[in-house]
Amino acid sequence: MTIRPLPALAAALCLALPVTAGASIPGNIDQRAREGLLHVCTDTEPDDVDDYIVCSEQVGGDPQEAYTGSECVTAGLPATCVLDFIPKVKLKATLLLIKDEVAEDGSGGSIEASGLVLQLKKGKKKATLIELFDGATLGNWNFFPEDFLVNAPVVEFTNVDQTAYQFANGTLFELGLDVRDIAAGWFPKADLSGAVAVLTAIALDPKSAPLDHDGGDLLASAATFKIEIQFVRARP
Amino acid sequence: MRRMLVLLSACLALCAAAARASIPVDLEERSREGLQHVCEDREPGEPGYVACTEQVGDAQGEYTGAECVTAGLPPVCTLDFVPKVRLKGKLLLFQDDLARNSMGISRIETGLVLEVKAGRRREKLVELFDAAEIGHWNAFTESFLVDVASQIQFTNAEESAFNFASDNLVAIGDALRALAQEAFPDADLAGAIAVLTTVVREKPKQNLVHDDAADALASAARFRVVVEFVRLRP
Repeated sequence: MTIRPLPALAAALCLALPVTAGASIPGNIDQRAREGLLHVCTDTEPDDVDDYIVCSEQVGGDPQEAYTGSECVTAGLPATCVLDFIPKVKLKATLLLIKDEVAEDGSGGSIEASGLVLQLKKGKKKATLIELFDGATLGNWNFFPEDFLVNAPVVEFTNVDQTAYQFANGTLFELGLDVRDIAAGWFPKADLSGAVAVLTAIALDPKSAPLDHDGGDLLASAATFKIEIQFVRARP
Repeated sequence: MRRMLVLLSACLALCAAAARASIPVDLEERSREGLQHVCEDREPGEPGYVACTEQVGDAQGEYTGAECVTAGLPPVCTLDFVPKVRLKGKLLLFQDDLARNSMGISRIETGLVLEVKAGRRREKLVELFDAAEIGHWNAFTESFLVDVASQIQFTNAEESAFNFASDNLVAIGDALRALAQEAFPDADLAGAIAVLTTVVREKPKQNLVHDDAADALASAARFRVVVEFVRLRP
């Protein structure tokens, strides 16, 4: 496994990684998280000199492998490593996911396209970000068909086969940076400079039925999700 | 020929061809060819409902209004709107000059989210498009969207003018007609198509400005729109 430069990987993880206790972490996302995100023995803050212990030893020396937690044991803590979240920085948002298997041009040709409208909210503050993507890949969701939007009851953070869906990195890189910039403005006391946005909750909006235009319909299908975004420190 | 007319009629979906909008040259020609014109915008069966048919030159030429003169009316032809069927909506238009795939390759893509109120129902229609063309807007750039000074112009003074019309908007036009038909069951929309009669920028200060060449996010702007329906030529 080639070790990527960490800053690039950390950047690539922007708006990524369903990596909280509330979400099942798929295998490869877990691996990416190990490689790019800072893990600690207990999720305390860096100024907590007693308990803030960074995990660094990984099985086989592979940056994508599980952390052994040996540093935690040395410090008298359980041999468990968790993600190092920025505390008290959480964005709630509405995510409109769009997929069009027949995105036409002006000459009768068509391609497969996908997109999203992300509306962030904190109190009375709101911000909207929009992205379009060529093809069926949106972040690490490598096979993002219309029927997923209209049939899937929930987004599963699993990767049991090639068609599983993960909301992560890749083409979502810039979006993640913008989300972080917005969060930095809304949470001025938090230092997000070394952190990346991660999705920690995603669920279909019960008040908004999916738009079903699957199966040869020229219109796009879409579904609205309620999501939460938090921030995790990247490995130095 | 009939097939051509049917195709053309379909292509005219969502065209900006109302009396309240300045009709651009090529759109006006399409309108003449595809949409029913009458001497006065009355309803079929009413006295004074006189269809215009004589045109200068070809099917895209101006209507002469000869039928109106014969009927004792001014030689003026207007579009034949279906009365009292109007949908108000909010249109979110977006474009991304750097819509990437997973290999890092990018292309231009555009899209829209149209939220319309049809009777008591609120419906959302979403469409994505490949490249810089939406309907007849042949040069649909991010900079257009974020230029707060620019309004949607139903003019076509140059190649880059924007017309909201036809072609890859056929499907959304058909969907609008279906919504309207459900909301207005007494209206006969079978022979009509949706046309945009009002497009006004909404909250331009909230435009999403990402038109820098290196900015990968999409630019977007919001508009208030009104959709009405015009009968097609038989």
